[in-house]
Amino acid sequence: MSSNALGQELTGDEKASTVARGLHQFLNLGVAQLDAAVRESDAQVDKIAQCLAAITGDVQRYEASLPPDGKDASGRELVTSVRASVQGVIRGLQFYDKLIQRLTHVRSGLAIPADATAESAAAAKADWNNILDQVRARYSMVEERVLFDFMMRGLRAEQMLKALQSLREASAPGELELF
Amino acid sequence: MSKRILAVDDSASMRHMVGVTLRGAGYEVVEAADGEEALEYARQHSVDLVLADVNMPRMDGITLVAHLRALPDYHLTPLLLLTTESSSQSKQQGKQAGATGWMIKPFHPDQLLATLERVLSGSIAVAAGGHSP
Repeated sequence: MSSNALGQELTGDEKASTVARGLHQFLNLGVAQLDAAVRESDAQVDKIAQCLAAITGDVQRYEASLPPDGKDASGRELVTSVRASVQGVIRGLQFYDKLIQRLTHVRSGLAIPADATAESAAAAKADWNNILDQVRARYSMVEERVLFDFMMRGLRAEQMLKALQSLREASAPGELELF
Repeated sequence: MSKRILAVDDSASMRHMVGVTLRGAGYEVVEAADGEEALEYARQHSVDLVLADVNMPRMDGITLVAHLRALPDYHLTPLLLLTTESSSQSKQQGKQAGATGWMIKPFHPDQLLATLERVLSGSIAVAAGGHSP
């Protein structure tokens, strides 16, 4: 049984208001945690990217210093090897960027309902379908929209994961379409 | 003289990745953090190719393409969109705005360079019939 600070039993409206306030705080907590995590890791990944740019510049200078007659075969092999490693890092780091995009969309998914229900009166009037539409509109990946639609239709986690797996297999990173 | 590429992305790390890839191949790379910044630059300087993300604050990539296509200097400039967005509806919007092509992130450096070379060499008919913004 819920009660207030004076030990009096809460009415139905008061209980609903307490739950709404708690949910609002919980949503804002999620937003703040995601903001902090993204900010902290963004700064570090930016440093990695800058180091990568510096390595690429160094390799270019080293390559330019090699004799033009192709005598330094080991030097050229080294250049090729470092370049291949740099390409691997570039590809890998882009998945971090994708992760950040997803986290940013999760953040929006928490912030939009949090803003719409900041006041208990507003919460009562909130158009839930409109909130869901706003959240979905922020997504930029087909996977995100599929996951969202599955969740909102109340499908089971196993069905959702199966559909996502098929999507991943069908998707082609790096795919190019010229118009 | 090296070709000048305008790389537009709100993610600093993505701009670095594109920059490292293109500078390593001898291109001059200018970076912009969103469509508005890119448009401002493109109005004042000449650019050989624009490589833009789609989802960005202030001005998205598709709107940027539409604005650029409306400028006389950019009727024939290759405008590529590089994005995680892969829906056919969005691709269609990009095409209608006048984009030259659509590439899904994450990109493979060699593939990106080959695409740029192909587009810049003129072997691809550049779409210039996009709608005005």
